[in-house]
Amino acid sequence: MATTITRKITEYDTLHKNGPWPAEYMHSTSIDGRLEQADFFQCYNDAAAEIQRLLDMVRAKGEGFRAIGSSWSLNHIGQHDTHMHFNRGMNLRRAISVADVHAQSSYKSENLFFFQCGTRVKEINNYLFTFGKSLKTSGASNGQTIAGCISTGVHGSAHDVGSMQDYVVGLNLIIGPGPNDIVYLEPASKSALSDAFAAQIRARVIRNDELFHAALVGLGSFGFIHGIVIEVEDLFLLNRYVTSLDRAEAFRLAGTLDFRNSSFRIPGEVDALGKPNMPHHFKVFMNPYRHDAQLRAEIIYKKPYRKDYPDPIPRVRKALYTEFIAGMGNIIGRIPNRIPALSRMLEGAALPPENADPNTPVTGTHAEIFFDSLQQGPAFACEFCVPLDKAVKAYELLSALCRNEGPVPGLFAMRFIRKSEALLGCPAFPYTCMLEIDGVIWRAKKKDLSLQAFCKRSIQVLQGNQIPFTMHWGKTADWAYPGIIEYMYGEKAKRWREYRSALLSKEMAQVFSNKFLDETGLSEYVDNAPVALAKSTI
Amino acid sequence: MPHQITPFFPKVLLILATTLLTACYSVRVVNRDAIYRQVTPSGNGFYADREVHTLDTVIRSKSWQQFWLQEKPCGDCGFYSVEYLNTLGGSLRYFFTIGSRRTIRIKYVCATK
Repeated sequence: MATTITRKITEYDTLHKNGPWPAEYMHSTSIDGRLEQADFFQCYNDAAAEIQRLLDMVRAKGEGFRAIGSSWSLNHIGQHDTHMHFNRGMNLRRAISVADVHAQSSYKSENLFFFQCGTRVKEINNYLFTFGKSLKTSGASNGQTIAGCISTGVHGSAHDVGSMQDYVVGLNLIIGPGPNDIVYLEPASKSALSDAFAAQIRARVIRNDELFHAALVGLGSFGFIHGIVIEVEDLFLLNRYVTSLDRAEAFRLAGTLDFRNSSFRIPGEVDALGKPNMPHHFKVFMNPYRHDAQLRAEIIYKKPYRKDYPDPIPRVRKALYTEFIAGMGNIIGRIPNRIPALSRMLEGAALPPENADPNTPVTGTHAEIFFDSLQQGPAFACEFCVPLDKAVKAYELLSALCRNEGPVPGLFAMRFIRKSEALLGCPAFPYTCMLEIDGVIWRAKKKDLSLQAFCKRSIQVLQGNQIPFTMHWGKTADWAYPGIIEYMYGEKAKRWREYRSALLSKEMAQVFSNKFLDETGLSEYVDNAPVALAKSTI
Repeated sequence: MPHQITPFFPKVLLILATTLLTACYSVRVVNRDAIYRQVTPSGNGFYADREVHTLDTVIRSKSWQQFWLQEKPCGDCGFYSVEYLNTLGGSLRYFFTIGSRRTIRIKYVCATK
């Protein structure tokens, strides 16, 4: 039987120390190892029954329930005042067989995999490697759980792929303690798994495009995500270059992604006519306190897999002591005029070093290039998603904010991804620039700009200059800023609430809400939401 | 009469600083493909979200004997990381007992399936 260990706690904090916030109980459920060996479905259903038992207990008390994974989000999206659930011990995985695939599915069974919520990206990478497969994209590292990734919209900079939720093809949700409360949800227009598979996980099937896209980035509030079906692809290699790029050209590329007509080229990455190839991934770094003529950029090209490449992972890895980073944050708040100098120091510690030879790449699989994270100390990260043609303008506005009202101890970067189908997906524009500022949490004096004030002023500055934007759900922001959700998502936010209200009972919607959802206004229950919204559309 | 710093004093400081630096260090080995046993975050640094175990003991052994610790901490999953820490106290103990007391301080994290 799956077992749950419950600890009485007083507070919860993220990995990057963005809290703490109050919490009462931390539950941690582990699957039954013997059942795992004997029968996948029996083990999986046994875990589902245990989650339902916990939900029933919480519901009866009129309290809340929030699932967390690796706690990599830099805000309180995962926190609940009462019951929290640590998903780590729920990491079953399964390759989908031909018999499991829906008869009308266009997916190849060999590319479909089923993962339980607490499976971490690194575990997925290792597992997929044994099948000669790879994730299409991930964040810059591999420690998050799959359920956490899709709930908050984790992304990389693979502009032809999108975010992690964009390769999810089916979701298994537990929306309450009843026998009818286990749901397998997938789009009606692109079925993946058969009804027989759903029956084996004791789920009722809902095939509905809009409901699926609402639940994809569900912010942990569309029920308990128990299982996730993803589409993967054949193993591939990435050629990674870290080099310097002329500032004007870097900004032109950031606004257009027009690499084919760029003056920037790497000799080995051009076509037969000598024109630059389109990279798979592009990221450019900026220090708001320096007007460097050259900017550091990470450019990655996708290549077919082969075995004969040197090991890309360095044998010795170095990182700043986290105590040093935390101490620095405390000290520099008292001497704000040293922050620009600190930003220069951060460049050395946080930016990827340039390749020894700018024309020779580091080559590795996706899992090897986006390997274990070195950054583990207290940190903040704000991220605004803006349309491509507004990327440079948005950077200029926010970097001016840092210089004029700051200082802010952080470095900017721009990454690029295509639009997400998820209703509340952060990449809401056809091509989206993810403009981020990452840095050290600082303790500001009363008259100086604090992190909270910076978050608020960033919103005001972008709104004041008519820049359309959204914000990454897992990052630092002023989430209680009045009207921010309507500004970012408008009608989509209304529909998201309706779909949630149609799927969940009012009682369970309250169980799956938290302070973050209340602050953003997304916990609001639509009493008259049409029941049909949560039905299959075929 | 003003107090004078004798040339002897800086030398003592230098020897002391060198001794402290050479006596306190740690070496961490990580099994890079392994998945660590995770806990909810607490504290800072490398072990913030890892289930860390500390082995802290003193072994009595003749200076001409070798020894090994036989533990079964991680079941059949093996280690994710092992860190050996050398402290000033450990070095002094080893020095003053002519190698017959060896301080062992090891932090390890188990891997998971």
